Amino acid sequence: MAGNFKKILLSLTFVVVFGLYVIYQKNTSGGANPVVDTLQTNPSQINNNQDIAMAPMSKKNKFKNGQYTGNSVDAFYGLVQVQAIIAGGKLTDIKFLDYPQVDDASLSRSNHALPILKSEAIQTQSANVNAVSGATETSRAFGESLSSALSQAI
Amino acid sequence: MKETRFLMGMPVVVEIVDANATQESINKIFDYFKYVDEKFSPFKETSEVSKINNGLIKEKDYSQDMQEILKLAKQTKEEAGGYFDITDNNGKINPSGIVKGWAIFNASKLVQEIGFKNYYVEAGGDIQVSGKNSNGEPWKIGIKNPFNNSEIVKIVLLDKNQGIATSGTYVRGQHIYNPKNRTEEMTQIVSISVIGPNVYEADRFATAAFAMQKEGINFIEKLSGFEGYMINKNGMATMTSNFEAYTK
Repeated sequence: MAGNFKKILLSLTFVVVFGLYVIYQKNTSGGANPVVDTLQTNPSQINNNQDIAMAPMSKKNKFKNGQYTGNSVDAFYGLVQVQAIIAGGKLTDIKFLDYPQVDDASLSRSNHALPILKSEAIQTQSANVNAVSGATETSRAFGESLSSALSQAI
Repeated sequence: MKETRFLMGMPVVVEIVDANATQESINKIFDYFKYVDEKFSPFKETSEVSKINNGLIKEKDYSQDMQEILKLAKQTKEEAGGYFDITDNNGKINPSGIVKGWAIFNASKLVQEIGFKNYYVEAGGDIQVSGKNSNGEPWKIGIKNPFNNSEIVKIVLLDKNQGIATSGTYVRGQHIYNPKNRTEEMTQIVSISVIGPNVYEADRFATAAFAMQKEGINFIEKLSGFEGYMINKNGMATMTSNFEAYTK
C-alpha cells in the first residue's frame, strides 16, 4: 500500500510540475523560446487535466520572488538538483545545479566522411504501441527537485 | 501477462505473451531487478557500490557481478572515446549508466531460460523484446516526445530479439547548464534513441551518444548493427541511414 501511495504521490507531483510548466511556457513572452515555434506538436494537445490542476495555483498562489534550491533527487544515473528563479511572482528560469552525465572531459572525435543523415520535424503519432522508449528517470527526478524548490516559494 | 513495478527509482515492466506464463515466473524477474538495485544503487548505504565507495571492500573481494560491470564500463569507455565514465572526480564509482541496460538484458535472458519466447522487459524506457507481441506481430515501440511526456513521435517495429534505449531529457525551453562549465548550455540535443542487437548495447551507446550531443548521431552511424534517432531542442530529428527500415 505504501508503494501505491508513493506512486500516486509521484504521479501527482508530476502532473503539478508539468502544469506549472505549461503556465511557465504561456507566461514566457514570444520569441524567448524557439522550441514552441518550430515544434510540430500542438500545445493545445497537452492533457487538459494538467491545465485544470494548475489553474487555481497560478491565480491564488503567486510565488515569492527569489531563488529556491530544490532537493537533490536520485535519477538512478546520478543526482538531479534544480534551482527555481522567481521574478515578478512568476517562475522565470530553472537552473540545473546537478545533472547526471558521463564524463565529457576527454577526446573530441575526428570526423571521417559520413553520409548526410536524413532530418525531419518530429510529429506526434497516434497509433497504439506496446511500449514507449524515453528518458523517464531524469524527468521524474527533475519534477521532484523542482516541486521541492517551488514549495519554498509559496 | 503483464506487470509493472517501481524499482531502481523507475517503472519496470515485464510482459510475457506466451499462454503458459505464470505469476511465479513474473515474480522471479522482478526479484532479479530487486537484487540488482540492492547491489548497485549508489544511493543505498548497504549496496556493494556504496561499500566500495566508502572503502569497506577490497578489490579482490568484489563480487563477480561487480567485476563484470567494472569490466564492461571500462570497455564502453574505450569504445566511446572517453564519453562514458563511471568514475567521478573524487574517484567514486556510479555504474548506473551500465547497470540499467545490463540488468534488463539479464532479466530478459532469465525469461528465456524459464522457457518463454514472446515477451518484453522494460526499465525506465529502455526495452528488450523477444519474439512477437500478443497479436503475433512485431513489437511496436513508440519513441517518446521529449517535449511532451504523454506523446510519441515515432513508431519502430522490432521483430528480432533486439533492444531499444533512449537517453536524454524531456526538459524543454529553459536553459540547462553543464555542471562542469556553468556558462555552457548542454542541451542542443534533447534525446537520442538507439536500436541495437540487445538493450545492453543500445543503452550504453545511447548514453555515450547523448553525452556527445550533436556528434552523437554520427557516432551511432559508425557503429555497425545500430540505428539511431536524435531529436534536437527545436524539435528536429536526425536519423541514421538505415533507421527507416524499422519504421515500415
